[in-house]
Amino acid sequence: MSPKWLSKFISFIFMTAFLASTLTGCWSRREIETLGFVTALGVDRTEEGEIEITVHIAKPFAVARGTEGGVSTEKGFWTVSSTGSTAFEAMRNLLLQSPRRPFYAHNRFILIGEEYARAGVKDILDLFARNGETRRLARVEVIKGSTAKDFMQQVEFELERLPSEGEEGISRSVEVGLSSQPVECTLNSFLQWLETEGMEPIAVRLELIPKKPDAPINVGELLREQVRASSKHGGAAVFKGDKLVGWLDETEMRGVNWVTGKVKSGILVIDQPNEKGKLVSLEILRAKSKFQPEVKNAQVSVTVKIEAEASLGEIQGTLDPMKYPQAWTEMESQMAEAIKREVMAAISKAKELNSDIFGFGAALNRKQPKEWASLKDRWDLEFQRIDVKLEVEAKLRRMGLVTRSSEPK
Amino acid sequence: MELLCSSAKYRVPTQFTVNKTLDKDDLLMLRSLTRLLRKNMWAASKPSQTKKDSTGGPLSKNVKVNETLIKQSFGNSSDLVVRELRVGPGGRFTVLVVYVDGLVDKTLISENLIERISDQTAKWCNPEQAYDDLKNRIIAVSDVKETGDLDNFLNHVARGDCGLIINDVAKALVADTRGWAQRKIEEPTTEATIRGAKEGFVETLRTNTSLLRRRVKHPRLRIEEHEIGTISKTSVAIAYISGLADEKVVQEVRNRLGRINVDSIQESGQIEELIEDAPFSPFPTILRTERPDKVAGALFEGRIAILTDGTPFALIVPATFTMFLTSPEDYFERTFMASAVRAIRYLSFFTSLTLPSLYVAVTTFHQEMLPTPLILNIASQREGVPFPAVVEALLMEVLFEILREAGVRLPRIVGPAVSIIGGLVIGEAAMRAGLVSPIMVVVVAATGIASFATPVFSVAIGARLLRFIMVLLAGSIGFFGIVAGLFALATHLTSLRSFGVPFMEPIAPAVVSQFKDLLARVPWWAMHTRPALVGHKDLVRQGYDQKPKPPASSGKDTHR
Repeated sequence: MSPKWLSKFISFIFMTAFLASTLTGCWSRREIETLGFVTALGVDRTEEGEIEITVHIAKPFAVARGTEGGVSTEKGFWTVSSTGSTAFEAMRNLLLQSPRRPFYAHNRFILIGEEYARAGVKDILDLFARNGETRRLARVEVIKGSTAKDFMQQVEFELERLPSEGEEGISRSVEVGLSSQPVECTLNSFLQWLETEGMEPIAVRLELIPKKPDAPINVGELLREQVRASSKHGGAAVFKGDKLVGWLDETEMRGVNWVTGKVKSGILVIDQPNEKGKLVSLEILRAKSKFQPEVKNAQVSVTVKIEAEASLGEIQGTLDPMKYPQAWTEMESQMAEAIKREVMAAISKAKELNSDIFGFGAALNRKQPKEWASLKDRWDLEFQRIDVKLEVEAKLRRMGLVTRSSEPK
Repeated sequence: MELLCSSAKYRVPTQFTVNKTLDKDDLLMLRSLTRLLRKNMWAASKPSQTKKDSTGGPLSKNVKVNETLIKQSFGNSSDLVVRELRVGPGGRFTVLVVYVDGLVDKTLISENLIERISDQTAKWCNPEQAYDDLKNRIIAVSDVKETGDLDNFLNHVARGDCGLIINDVAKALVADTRGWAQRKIEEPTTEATIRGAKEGFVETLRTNTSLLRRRVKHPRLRIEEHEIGTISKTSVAIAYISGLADEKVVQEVRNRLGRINVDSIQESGQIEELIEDAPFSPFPTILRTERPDKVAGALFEGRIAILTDGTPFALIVPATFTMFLTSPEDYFERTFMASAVRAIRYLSFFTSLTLPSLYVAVTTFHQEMLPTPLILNIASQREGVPFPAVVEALLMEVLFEILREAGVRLPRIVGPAVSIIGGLVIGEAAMRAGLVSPIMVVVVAATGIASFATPVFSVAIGARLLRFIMVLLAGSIGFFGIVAGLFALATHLTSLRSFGVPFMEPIAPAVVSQFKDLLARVPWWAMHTRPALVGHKDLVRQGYDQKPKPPASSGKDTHR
């Protein structure tokens, strides 16, 4: 062991230890138990004109299974609000009340009170886009007829310990199973829609459904606080620019999804061909759509082509489609009609609110940019008198293993 | 008179006294002793020279002198047996039978040597004739050598040969009578397999070479013996198949073994450290195994094995990283299962290296990386744990290492008890006491199990050490630290070489033909070539087109 080698080695160790302790120093270390995981965030404006942020912070010890294996009976989250002149300040002011630093990376919902949304949401969007901790994949939802704070203080689900889990579950199944709410309406797409010419943003519509206040508390079965109110999903909040201008109901929203090709599944109810007063339900299997805007003689027209496939899900009366093939074609044409009705409802509502939520203008911009340049200043007017040609190709694919519905003797 | 020749440095038996008047015999003896001492001193100062059978120090004609010299050389060790036989008419001839008790087959010596010599009735005229007769007729042992050199004679005796010296002849006969208590050939404990041979190497070199020879029944299997250790004189054998192994690599092995200058070799681990390419790497660049089938497999790839007397562990060079994650079973089991198990091994190696550090990084820096339910679960388990995650992880890992060490050292009956008490009781108690979180116990347990899934323990040890560094890196700068650590590790591993072959071959450098034996192990009928960088002397190992097919159709009656 030569002394030269040794001294080199020692100085290397020394330098490493020195640099490691001074240069890194556990930069931005935050232990998991010092964080409060925000699962939903609401925005309102107070009467004084300040921005009010309300958050649900999960209580890990109440949400997760304890070491004993049982489930805690405690409420799984904590609702807390704070105010500030900007959203960021309001968020930071939460530190005054929360012993654990609110951590926004797991936030899945940005809830906006109706009043705030009507006045315009531009003020807060920059924060959520710019901040490194908040995620752009959070869903944007607008509370109809209430403030976000009220909603968040009351909403609870029987099946989930965290309201955000409940919202998430419902959102996912509504998107996939009903197609009656905006699909993937995240902060990211909201921002995109907001900035696209000839397109207006939409957001999920939420409503608070109060439960009966005197409903008996079933102590034996449900130890936690009784669920006071639950939420109703579906439909959409329609924006014009950054301001909320109105609402779409579930049917109208599915009409929008038919046009934009985002229908995944859902139930279409039509009349039974051979029996009066009886109904048939069809389950949508898949749908495709394409729309082509066109300017001709100063008249904007849009051709919407929709291809939809459905399966026969339910017959109320008695019908054997194997014996009466004409009933099959009859049902197909009725299905096309039903789709048309939904689409027309959506278009007329959009015209009424004067908000191009379909992105017809944007499509025109892509197809005929010169025409769009001359049209875009008076697009509001043009959108009102836009001519929509609808071509629906409906196909009924299967009827299941039961050919004939059961018949009473 | 007193002769004092003390020199501790040379570790030669140096101090003795002769306390009587000198006669002629004594003078002779004294001269021989001085010569012997001088030679020994010289040998000790240049130990590398003793590996060749040294010249000098011839045997004396005088049986008495020889006997004294032998006894002195062994320092009157109690296991040295010197038997004097008187044969011939009137006991004219004196035959000394010299052997070390315990190293020899006593039945062999008494029946084939002593009995035959004593019963012998031939009329010898002179000692030379007796000597020749002994050598050519009487000694009923297959391997008999002749030596005139005392040193050589002593070496043979120390190795278990039986030495015969006859009076008035300055030569001796050494008969191979080796035979000692040795462990049975057993299933290797560190590398057990479900399918495959159940025999493992033992501590005797000759048995080990025979195990090898039985698997390679071809004269091209070369076994070269060297002697390493100036005092221990350990036999070390290089085994290779001539024509498959690169002669240059064999020469390099010879050179490196030749450079070793130590007094003793107890285990092949010492040789490994003395000849390896990267002495400071946490990973070994020489593969060790106690399975003859593994060694034979390596020989057929063109590799070279180094077998050491006194240890069941053979060394294989050149070794590559993938070999450490390969079990012989991979080649015997069905190909899909073998490939799947291999994937599991790679995964578990990576797990044992990084899992605790990933836990630390996620809980201290990157809480956004995990899905919400999982992070809430972890957060709830960390509730009330007084230590930061990195301290918690280090604490548990150290505890686990202590447990493992305790389990290994304890007697076989107590060992499992300690593991159970340690694993269950301490883990459970620490968890209940709120000192560590349950998920940490899961992480440590998973890491521990993963590190046991590595077929060769020495590479798992490397991962075990690096794990702590990774935890520290993760605890100070999160994923960035882990990635930096892995990057440094990858750089290091790719820079290693083992006897001229890149350690990470066939990954880096990519050797496409060798991908057949990397993650997936292709069926044997597709293993046409040997590893290109090792077996390039004779690349093609088997015939092509050997995939089993249905027999050539004899018509339509196959449907019957």
